Amino acid sequence: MSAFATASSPASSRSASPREVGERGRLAPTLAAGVALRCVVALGPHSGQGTPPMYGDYEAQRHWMELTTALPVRSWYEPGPDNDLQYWGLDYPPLTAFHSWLLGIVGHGVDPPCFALHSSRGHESLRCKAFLRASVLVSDLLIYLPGALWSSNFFGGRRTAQQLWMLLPLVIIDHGHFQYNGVCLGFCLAASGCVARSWHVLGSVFFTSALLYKQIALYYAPVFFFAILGQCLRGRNLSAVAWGVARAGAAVLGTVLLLLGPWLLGERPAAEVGQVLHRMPRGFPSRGASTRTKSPTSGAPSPWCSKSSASSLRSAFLCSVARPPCWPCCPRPFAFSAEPPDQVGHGMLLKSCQCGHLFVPSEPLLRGPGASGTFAAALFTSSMSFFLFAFQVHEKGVLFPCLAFCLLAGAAPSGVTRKMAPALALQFQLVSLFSMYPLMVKDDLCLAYLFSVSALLVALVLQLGHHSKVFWVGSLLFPGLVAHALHALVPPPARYPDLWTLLITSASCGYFLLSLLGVTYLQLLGAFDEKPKDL
Amino acid sequence: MAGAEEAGPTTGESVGVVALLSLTLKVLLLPAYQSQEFEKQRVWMAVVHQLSPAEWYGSAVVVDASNSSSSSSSGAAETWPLDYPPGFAFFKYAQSWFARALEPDMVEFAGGDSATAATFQRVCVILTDQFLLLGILLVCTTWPSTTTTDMEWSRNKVVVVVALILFNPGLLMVDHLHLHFSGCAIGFFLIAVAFLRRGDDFGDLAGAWTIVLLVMFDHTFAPVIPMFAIYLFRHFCSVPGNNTAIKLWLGSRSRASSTQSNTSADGDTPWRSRDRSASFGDDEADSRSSSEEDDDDDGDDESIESIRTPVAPRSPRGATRATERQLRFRGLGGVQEGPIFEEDPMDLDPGAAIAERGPSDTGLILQHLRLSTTEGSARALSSVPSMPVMSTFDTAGGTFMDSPRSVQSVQPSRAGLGFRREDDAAMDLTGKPKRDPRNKHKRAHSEIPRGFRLRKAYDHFKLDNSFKKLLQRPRGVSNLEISSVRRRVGLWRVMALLTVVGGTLGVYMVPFWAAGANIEVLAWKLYDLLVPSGKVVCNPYWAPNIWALYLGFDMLLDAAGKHVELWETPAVAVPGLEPHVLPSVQPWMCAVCTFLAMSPALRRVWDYPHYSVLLPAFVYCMMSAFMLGYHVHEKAVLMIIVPLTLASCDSTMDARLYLLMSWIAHVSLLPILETPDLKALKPVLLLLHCFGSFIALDQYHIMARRARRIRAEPNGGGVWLWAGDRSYFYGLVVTYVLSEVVHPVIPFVVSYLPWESAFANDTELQRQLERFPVTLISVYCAAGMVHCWTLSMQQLSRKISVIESYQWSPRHGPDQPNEAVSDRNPFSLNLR
Repeated sequence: MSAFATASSPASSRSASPREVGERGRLAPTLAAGVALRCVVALGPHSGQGTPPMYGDYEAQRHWMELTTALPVRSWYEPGPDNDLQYWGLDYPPLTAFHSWLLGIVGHGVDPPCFALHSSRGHESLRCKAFLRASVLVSDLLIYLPGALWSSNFFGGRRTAQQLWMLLPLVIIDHGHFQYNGVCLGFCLAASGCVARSWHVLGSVFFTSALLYKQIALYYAPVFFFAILGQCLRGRNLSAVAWGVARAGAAVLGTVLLLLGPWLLGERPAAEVGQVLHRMPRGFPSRGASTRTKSPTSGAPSPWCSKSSASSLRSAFLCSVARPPCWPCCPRPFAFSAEPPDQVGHGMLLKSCQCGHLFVPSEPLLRGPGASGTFAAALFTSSMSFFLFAFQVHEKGVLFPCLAFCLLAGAAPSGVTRKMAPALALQFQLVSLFSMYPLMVKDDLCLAYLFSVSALLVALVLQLGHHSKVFWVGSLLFPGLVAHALHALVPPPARYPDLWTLLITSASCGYFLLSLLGVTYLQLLGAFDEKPKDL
Repeated sequence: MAGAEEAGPTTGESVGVVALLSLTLKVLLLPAYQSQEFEKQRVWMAVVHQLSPAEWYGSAVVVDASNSSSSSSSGAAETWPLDYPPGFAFFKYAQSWFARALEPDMVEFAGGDSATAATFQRVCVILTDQFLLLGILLVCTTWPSTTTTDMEWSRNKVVVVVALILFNPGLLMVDHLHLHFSGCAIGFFLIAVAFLRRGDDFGDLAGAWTIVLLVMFDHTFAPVIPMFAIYLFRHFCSVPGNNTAIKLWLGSRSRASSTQSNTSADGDTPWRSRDRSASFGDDEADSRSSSEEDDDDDGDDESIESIRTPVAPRSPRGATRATERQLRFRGLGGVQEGPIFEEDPMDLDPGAAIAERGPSDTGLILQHLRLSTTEGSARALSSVPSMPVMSTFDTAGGTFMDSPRSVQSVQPSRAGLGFRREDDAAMDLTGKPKRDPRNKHKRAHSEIPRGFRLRKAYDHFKLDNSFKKLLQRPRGVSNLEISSVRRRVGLWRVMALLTVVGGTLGVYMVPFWAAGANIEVLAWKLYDLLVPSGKVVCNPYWAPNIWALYLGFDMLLDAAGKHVELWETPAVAVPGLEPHVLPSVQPWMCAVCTFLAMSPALRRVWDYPHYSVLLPAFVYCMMSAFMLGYHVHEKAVLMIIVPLTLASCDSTMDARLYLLMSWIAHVSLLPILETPDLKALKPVLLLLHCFGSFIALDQYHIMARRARRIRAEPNGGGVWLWAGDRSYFYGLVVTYVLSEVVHPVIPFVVSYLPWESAFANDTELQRQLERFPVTLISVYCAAGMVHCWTLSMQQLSRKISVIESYQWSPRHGPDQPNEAVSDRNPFSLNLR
């Protein structure tokens, strides 16, 4: 029996109904197209290619593979002679480390010099690159794709699966910039599929895995917490409720214990686990400290930047690009901490807004049996408010709201929202890409960016009817073109070298705020709670 | 879908979208790895930039050796001798100026490769690739556009074809990853085909000119020169002979036809009283033959009146003229006005008619209906007299091909692209100058290209009488009719053709001559490009042709000989590329074999010099050249696949041939790209192509059949791959997995096995193992290519049989009906 009783039964019957066969399309070509797209994007440069001494995310991942295969498990997070924490020390949770370890073992068979301890720093060979790129692809195929297929049954069927698989911002970040976000998002998708089916235990395991893969999955945490809790609270009697909560709690604890096992079994478990946790403070979005600042808050379009740009441009530039080269090496507090207290006051205010906001979407989850739309909307508002209001946000954080928006578009039940949903999802992807443009410039990924934007525009044009085409596309295209033209052609004023970047980020920040407000408003109206009518 | 109620995107929009996406995809491929080809092409740029034209093809060409200044300093030029014809060299020369402006180091011999150079070359490929798009669109404009349905199909065809070609993985791999300019060359070829398909004098001459440019750009197309020469000779140079026998015979025929048409005017149902050939082939043509002036005539009654007036020759001079006229308006080139059947088409019940008539004439009946209903509008389009094109059915394979039978004289260029033209005269027919945008789908027939400048210039040129008078040839003469009768060679026409071809060639030679090159030696050098004497029969990648099979068989014999010790194997100069046991192959043998293999197609082109034969004949000839040529480059297979794509929408049989061939050929192209970063991309591109091409063609054919209300076969009317094809395809997958997945891990596995040292010591075994993937893929693909070769011959004969079935054949005499061609040909029109 599924959790989202009102929404899921029509959704599942829809995926089986013969009427929709034509619209459903065939999955295999989309899969192949997605793989081809990933391969093609992977041909491009990766982050930090040829930029010593610190290189970029690519080097970090490679270094972790080198580290985890060379050192015993318990010294992965420990500073030591072989483990220089200042040079890309492992600062992701243990599941990432295990993943790196596994890939490193395979990598030793493929290209040993690429993973040799110490000597391989900054190693950039074609073979090694091919291997690492392929590892992302395989991880996507093994984790993200099943997750997308598993969850899409409850969020709009195969079309959603296709959209998730062709999620262009994710493709660019993972296969261009080089990261393994697909794994984390795949676990999250699998967890939402399980939650939609009322499989609390498995859902908890998956979500905890996501959390222990990348702490940024905390963006979704409140929603999962409340959804699972709400489902448990709907038990027949107190003992059923208690049993449900206990099972879910045990699943979470068990996963955590399992993944932290090597450190817990050591001689000083508390100290070692503390060491592990100490290495990843930056991921907890409400904490201001940042140790790994390789890709700074620079372009992330959060109101911190926009708002402060209104009050004092100078502080805004502290939080936008133009770092001195030594910036990544030295841990330094977040820019605003050095600012006068009124800025911090702003921060507190906004944070309280965020905290208040987090509970708005989660409330209907607690209230009763929800629709899949409610769940997706909650995912979106939660991750979006985290993304907008948290400290120390990486541009790639927008992937989480982007994914949630895809799910939301698939699950949008009826009326105007349903009609406009696919186009809006494409538009959201477009703006997400736009917000990541500074990162693209930094990583030399403009070709992939160009391709993605044109593909999205084409899809948007095809999706929209004739009448709305001009308005929708024009309203997006024109400001975007202006911003890009400014960025590319007009040199920024000498006093504010990052003016154009700031323009891009604040423009997309405005869009994100609007979308957040819009979705919250619709959610308060209960637009997502009803079941799809036209099915 | 949001846009379900509104009309979908127009063809122009769809083509634009596809072109944009493929362009961005190609741009995405910019940072891929750089093959050796980059250095080669860069050195060529340096050679043509630094040296005088006389030294481009080596110092041997220079008359005075002491004159050559820098030939000794160009070691790189010795490593990579320019092995393309002069047209390509000129292209490189033009390119080198841009390169020099960008980075002067690029045109130095010892320039080395920089990122800029690589990007520059790739961008050049992408830019010249736009000729391909231009070529496709130009060919598309020559597709049938007589009726609404024709246009609808043509427009769908355009999108399918453009998508299949622009996303062709072979082109992506060879041009955009490995760096060749084959897309540009194929684009030139398609432009030539578009010219030739116009079927008139201007088209022939322009086509000949383009072919010269093409062959001078890329000599891969050289083997089909005989085919084009024969076509042009028969189509352009020949005019109807002044033959007394024909005159007499035609006199008797015109009498017979007048009586026949009177009979049919009495109300006898035409298709009941006569068999197909009589009703379709003969008396129609004769009836129409009288009215050259009726081109622009709109009234059906008048044309019917004029039909009934027998045309009798009055004087010898008049007889000749009448002969010519009759020849002209019979069948192929003729213009037929008025309904084919004299009953009101709207009264006919197609179902009943089909039931009565039998399935074999379903196509004809439907065609008649289609024709008659849109007659008025179609005729309104024909304000400018031009080449008649028409579509014919082949009900057996669900063929929709353009055949020689013409129905209306309509501007062909208006077919393919659904650009809207608001101010067109045809719009007035509907009586609604301003249309409701919601009714977009109802105006298919009036979506006409807007401002197609080339076309306009061409029309203008055609109306210019001076050109006509120069080449004294009656316009629109049917070549088919007189193909088997004696024809006269028009001397002026031969001279015009020779002037165009020779003049162009001469212009190519001018720079060499001015630089003091020995033209004779240069000519031999160029000949050497075609028949490379210093090379072996197979290139290192073993293009999948007959010689790969030959070498594979030789390897088997060799291995067998070693075991049984029947014969001892001599060492060869190039191991793996020359036969050990079997006799070695000489270039002249290849040339003779190729010509022999081509000769059936050449014979057919001689017999039926019509532009609809051109593409299938080209495919077969190019296929023969590929299968039997000496030292063939693998990329030559692209020159077959891309033209084949244009045919793949004609019928399900064509689609089957295309699918099989493209799948096989692309697998055989995969070993070109060896670098690790492309390991994943290659199979995925291929897989995507397999999915995409099958789905696109399958859906297209299902839709096309449904639109024609042709009874769907068990597979729904889509593309049907035979069991043999499918099992071959599974074998292909296994072959690919063996060579690309299993083969690389063999050393890895062997290192864990106990007999590792024995393996490590056996260098011979290792060498063989190293060549294993290439050999396996090539031999397996070669077997499939042989199958495709026979299929392409089948397609050619099938198309010719369609043409035959619609034309009067002199072999059967005037009054005997043309016997069904289908009896001889398994792929015939008859569904019996």
